[in-house]
Amino acid sequence: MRRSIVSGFVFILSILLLTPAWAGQSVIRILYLNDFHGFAAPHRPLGADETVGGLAYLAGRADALRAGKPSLLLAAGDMIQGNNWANLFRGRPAIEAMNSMRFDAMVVGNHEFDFGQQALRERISEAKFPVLGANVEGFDGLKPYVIRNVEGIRVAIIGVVTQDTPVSTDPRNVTGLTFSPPAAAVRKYLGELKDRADIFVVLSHIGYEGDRKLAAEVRGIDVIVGGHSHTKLEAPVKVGATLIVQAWEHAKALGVLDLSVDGGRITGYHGHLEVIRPVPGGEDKAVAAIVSKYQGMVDRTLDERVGTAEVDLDGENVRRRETNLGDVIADIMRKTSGADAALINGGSIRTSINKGPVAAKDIYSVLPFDNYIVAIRLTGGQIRRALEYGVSAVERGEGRFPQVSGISFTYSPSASPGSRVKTILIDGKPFDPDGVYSVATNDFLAAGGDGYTAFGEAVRSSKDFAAVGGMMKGEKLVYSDAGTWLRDVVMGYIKEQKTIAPAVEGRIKEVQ
Amino acid sequence: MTQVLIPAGRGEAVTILGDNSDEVRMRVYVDNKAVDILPGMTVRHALISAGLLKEIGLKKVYDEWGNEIGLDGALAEGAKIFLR
Repeated sequence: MRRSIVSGFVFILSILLLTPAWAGQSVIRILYLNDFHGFAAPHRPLGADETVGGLAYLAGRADALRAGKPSLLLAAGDMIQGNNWANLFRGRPAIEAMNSMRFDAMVVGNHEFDFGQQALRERISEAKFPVLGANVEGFDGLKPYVIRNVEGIRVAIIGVVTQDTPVSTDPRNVTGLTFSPPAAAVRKYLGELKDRADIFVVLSHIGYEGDRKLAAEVRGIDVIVGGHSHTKLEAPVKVGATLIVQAWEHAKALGVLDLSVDGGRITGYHGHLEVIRPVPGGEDKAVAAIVSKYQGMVDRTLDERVGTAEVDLDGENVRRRETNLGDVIADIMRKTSGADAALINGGSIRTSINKGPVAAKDIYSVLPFDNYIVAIRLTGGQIRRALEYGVSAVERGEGRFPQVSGISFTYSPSASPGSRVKTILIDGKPFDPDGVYSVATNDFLAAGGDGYTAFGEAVRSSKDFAAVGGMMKGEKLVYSDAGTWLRDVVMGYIKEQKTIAPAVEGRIKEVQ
Repeated sequence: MTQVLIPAGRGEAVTILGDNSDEVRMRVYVDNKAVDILPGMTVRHALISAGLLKEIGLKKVYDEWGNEIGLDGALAEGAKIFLR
């Protein structure tokens, strides 16, 4: 009798132990964030009617939404770069806040490479959560996937990042790394993990269009939590059997996806975006303290002296004539990009710096826009047209007036617009209209801003993407570093030089 | 002259043209008008190129599926975006 009772107990225990923990229906909640870009404080986006965002408020909502529920908190990339709050400390504030928020995993975004590989290694070593990148080869700190056990349900999370990463950061930041096709990486790890997980999530930083293609091409993905395209997906989208979600940008929204799971399979879902508003009392106190701590450091950093100007730096006359500040900024752009010449619109330089100590905030006032350096190969003819356009409205003091480096030219303001430029020298030599020169500018002009068409014309004359031996050759695009603002490059230069005393060198001369 | 080598992007969007075809651009469509921008550029650059950035504030940007997108959102070759 006693023996049979023991046997029965062992039998029941065996049944309990062997039965998957997910037997019966349960609900897993996935919370997600993407493209935070260091926007820690509430802000009012261009054109918006209200102030939104604020990482502490988002963390507060996440706390409330996670309370008592089996859940995951995921980040779909581009978390550590963008706003000064993150940039001035190479992304450390974002990781500290994410640790406090107890993120479960993050995929590396293209902008995570913007501070270089060493800085990214440091950020990964600080993170208390895995940083994923299944399609990145050559970088030891990234894991291809992680498996989380959520109340007995095994959730595999595979991370992939855009193959465009090398064209959106300084090429030196990705030296030695290979970004393979995301679909191939996802297929590979789905195969490896098929018996080790119940639910398969791809944490993606390839953009919504890429996510749709991935869902259509690769079977077996239950959920794609996406980023990169800054898409406001109000509700989950189903492509085939795969759910796709994405939560806009800049901590303006927190994504919420509830998955009903039965027998290890998803049987239902419901999802929405929670728009984040700075409601008093709604913040997570610990995250608020981190946001505040680093904001104080930002303020102190901007007040710090970075160098000395031995002369007044003229940002007032940049729309009418060559100035020493225009010269030095153009010189820095040319030197940084390794281009033959540089051309920037005077309108991008907003104020002067007085002789004396130069603080970081002075440089930020001169260059307030989030512009980065791009260098493109132009023909001599295109350079001439750019200069003609640049001086075509000098009498009205419009922002198109050029500040240049590596170029010197004369023009007659009394001649008709379009035929004002007389002589052009590049590197001190007469320019060849049919020659090709690399010219650095900012991304605004490269996209045709301020009416400049020469750069766009050069881009248009390009053929489509060309892959040669597995690599794409960028002959037209000489340099592009979307991850470093021009003002930070200028600040770095002045810090390095300690003292600057640029003079107007006679690069742009009026003649009659 | 500096030359950067960058991995081929976007899987199927890459066109293999041969050794002499080594130029780079990305064509996207703003309100059905084609604009050419550099790889890595964003919604903001497409609007600048189309001369429509000044519309932001009065209008928002949507993708071809009707989802709102941010100005710093990445674009893919052939992407179609709309202002409304």
